[in-house]
Amino acid sequence: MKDNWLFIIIIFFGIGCTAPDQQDPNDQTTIMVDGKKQLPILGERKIVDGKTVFHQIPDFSFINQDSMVVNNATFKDKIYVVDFFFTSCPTICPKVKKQVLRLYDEFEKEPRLQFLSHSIDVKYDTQEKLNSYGKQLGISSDRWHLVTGVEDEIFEMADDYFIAAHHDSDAPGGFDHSGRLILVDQNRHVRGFAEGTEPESVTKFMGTIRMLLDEK
Amino acid sequence: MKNRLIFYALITFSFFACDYTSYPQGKALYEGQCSGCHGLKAEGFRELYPPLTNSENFRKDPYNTACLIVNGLEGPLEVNGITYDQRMLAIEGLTDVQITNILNFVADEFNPKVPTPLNIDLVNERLEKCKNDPKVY
Repeated sequence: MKDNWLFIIIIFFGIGCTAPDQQDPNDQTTIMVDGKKQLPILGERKIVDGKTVFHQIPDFSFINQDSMVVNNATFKDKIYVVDFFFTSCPTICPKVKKQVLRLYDEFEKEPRLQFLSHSIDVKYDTQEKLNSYGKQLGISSDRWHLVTGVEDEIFEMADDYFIAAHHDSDAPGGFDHSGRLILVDQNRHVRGFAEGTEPESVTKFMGTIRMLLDEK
Repeated sequence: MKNRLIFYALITFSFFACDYTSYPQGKALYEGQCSGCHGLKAEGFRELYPPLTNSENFRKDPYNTACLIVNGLEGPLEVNGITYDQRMLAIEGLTDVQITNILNFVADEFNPKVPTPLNIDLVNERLEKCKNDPKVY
């Protein structure tokens, strides 16, 4: 495995300047643009016709807890925080949900910030289940969407948000997934993240969100 | 002089005593297996997960909790006047000793009205009953 990586790295250096550039999805160190601090755009980037093309969230369409379609248009001119969970998840999800709820309360008066939680248990988490979950959590679909959809499409979206999510019969509840929160801007670019299981990380993330909201 | 030392030692000790529990294994298991949903202080979470602190259900029948741990639970459940309706998955791989320790920790720490210690024979008796029929609690 290690040798494989070495091989890939050598190849990478071999093709040198023709290789696509990459902003490590695990590195959200701010960058300086025109003397101002800015959040980086995470993920792969390519040069096409002399222009840099950044990693972009593709089209998607899911159904939320109130049976409404949630797609890219839902977040037009908005920024949003993404996570993946399932309602009967006994391990990290409740911790993550508590932290997302902190963000939801903290940015109560900021309609430009929305929340998008994908259920990865499409069989059990029906729209009705998500509806009761949302009610019992005490949230509104005006700002926080709990969505379900085609299983493969949900797992594919996880890749696009750089979040690990897959079936694992050994994991409690049958799914293995990361508790990471992802911040997406109005141009569908991933701009930051937090570890949803760690309160300090989420506190820092509040600053990241404010920085993006202040961006013109 | 010696008395004084003992006095200071006791004072120092009492600071640590706040964290003391008679059921350290129960505490560790509770924190690892239960607190994610029910909270470190067993306060519950919104109307998603019921509290275990001063729970009428637990007080009336603490041994029932052994069956909930082993079988999980699905369907509405009223606790202290609020109806909860999220599925709880069964927690696998716990021994009867571990389950008894969890129950004792929950009783001792969060439900002062429940007399401890809860008895392992009664836990086993109850588990025997609900083992083959998860709906019989």
